[in-house]
Amino acid sequence: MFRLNKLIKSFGSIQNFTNWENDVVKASKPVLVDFYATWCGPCKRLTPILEQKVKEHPNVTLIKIDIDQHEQLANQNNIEVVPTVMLFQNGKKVNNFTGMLPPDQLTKFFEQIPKQ
Amino acid sequence: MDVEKQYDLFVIGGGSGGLACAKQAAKLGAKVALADFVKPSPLGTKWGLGGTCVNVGCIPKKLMHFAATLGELRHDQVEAGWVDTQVDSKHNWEKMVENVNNHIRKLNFGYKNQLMRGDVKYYNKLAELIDANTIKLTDNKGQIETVTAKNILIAVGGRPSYPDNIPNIQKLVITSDDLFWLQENPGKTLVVGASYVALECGGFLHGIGNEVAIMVRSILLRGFDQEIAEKIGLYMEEKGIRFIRGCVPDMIEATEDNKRKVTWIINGQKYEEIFDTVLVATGRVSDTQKLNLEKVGVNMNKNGKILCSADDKTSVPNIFAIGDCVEGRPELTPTAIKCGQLLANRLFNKATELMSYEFVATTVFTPLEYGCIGYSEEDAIKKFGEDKITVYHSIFKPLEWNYFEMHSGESCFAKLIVLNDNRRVIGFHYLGPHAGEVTQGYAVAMKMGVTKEQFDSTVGIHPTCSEELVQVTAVKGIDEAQKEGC
Repeated sequence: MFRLNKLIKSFGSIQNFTNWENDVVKASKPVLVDFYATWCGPCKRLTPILEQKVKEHPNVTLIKIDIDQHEQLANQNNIEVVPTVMLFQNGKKVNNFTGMLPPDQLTKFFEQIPKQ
Repeated sequence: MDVEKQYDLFVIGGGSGGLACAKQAAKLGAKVALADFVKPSPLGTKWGLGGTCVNVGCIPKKLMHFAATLGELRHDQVEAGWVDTQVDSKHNWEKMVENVNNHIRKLNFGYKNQLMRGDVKYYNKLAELIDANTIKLTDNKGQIETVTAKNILIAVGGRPSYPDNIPNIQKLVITSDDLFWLQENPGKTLVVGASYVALECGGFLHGIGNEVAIMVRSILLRGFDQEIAEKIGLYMEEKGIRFIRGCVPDMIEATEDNKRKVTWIINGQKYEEIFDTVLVATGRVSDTQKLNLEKVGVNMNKNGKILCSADDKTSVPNIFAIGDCVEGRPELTPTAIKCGQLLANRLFNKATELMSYEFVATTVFTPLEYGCIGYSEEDAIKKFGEDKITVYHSIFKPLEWNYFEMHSGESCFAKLIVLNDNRRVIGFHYLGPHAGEVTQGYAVAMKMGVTKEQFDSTVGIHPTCSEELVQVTAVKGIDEAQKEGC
């Protein structure tokens, strides 16, 4: 049984955003928040990459937030640049980056996310 | 009892002038708020923070003008050796507009951030004055709040005006407010007007492949040097833009397939034609009607433009006004910005410097671009007298135009107007490619009082168009403008 558990990988998931309190602050797993804008070219390139990475990475939930649809939330989080990606754990922001990261830096960012 | 006001400065209008003043005032420690609200155009077009320049003026105009110039370069590409260039390739309006609109939204976002970081409170609400210290703010849901301020700045700019002789015209035509946000190519377009808005828009629409006619009541580019204005018109005509001169639309009607039937009369003869779109660019009107200014005592002229002294004060001591909404000011972004910054310095940093409008450089981005500083020939003659000035002129052709033989060799033009007694260059005129880039540096010289002899003693950069300005020797009335030989 123990060996079987080790073989079953857990994958990350992409979640629809409904509510900051429930989806981010109260989440038990690490939450990656992708603040994007529809008019932002780098955002359009980054989001699919994040989606792919999250699928490959255990334990992370990805939430995408359109800053024009959620202006107040964007202001509260002091979003000045898009894309801004924030990692939350137990309701606290533990890591973040802005703009499009080169592949090796993106990999490093994901490696730093706790796996369990 | 003097009730403490919520803000030191409340700015009405988040365009070039308003934003600049608000940011500078906040930087100097004032408590500042800014209200910006875009009333949709009659066709429903609206946009974000930043004002006319960012959303429906300079920025989208220059991007679309650039798109058109890129198309023209296809012919030069062929002659310069590039293989497989498609000189007849089509232009994708939707792609251009999407990119332009995305860039504008990026700017809207940037301005919002600047206000936030600069501690300026931003209200996306329509402002109205209750009294000299109280502003009523209404949001798009109709909710009202009231704020108070020690000083108020009105920087509401203007909006396109419509001719008043055609019923329902606001629903039948588009203006520059709509053009830059159209989701579909406007097609065969009639541009009504002779302003730089009309000529620039007509110019780039033609440049991207549309059939364009421009209907002009009398002269082109009123207020600009007329010799150059006519050359601009001639160049556009040679490119294939139709000019319909000496009339205005008599009637505009929607056809069954939603095109526009336009009728006009010249010398008693009636003409009629179908266009896909009619773009009206016959002038702009100050956006002060709904501010309640009369009740508060702010004087305006009969066109709604606010009357201000040189220090931007209105008839009410704590109410100021800058930018397009003020009588006598040039309708330009850089002057509004500088004026706003200097006003903030005077209000909150004990500065005394007033805005100077002398030798402000501008550029008209028509298909052949025109940069100018200072006096037109007409204005110089009017102010100083024909015998007190000397006009130097030159016709030239950019070196790069020698690949593609269809480039007209007669159309680029340079003109300097010199005051005889002190030899100061008081008028600079350049008609040719990259006019904005060429003209900017010369404005520095002219503000410093440069003379014709100093121009002549300056070594030109070769081979450029700009060097023509430091080499022009032909005197108008004595010498031909066209150089002979190589």
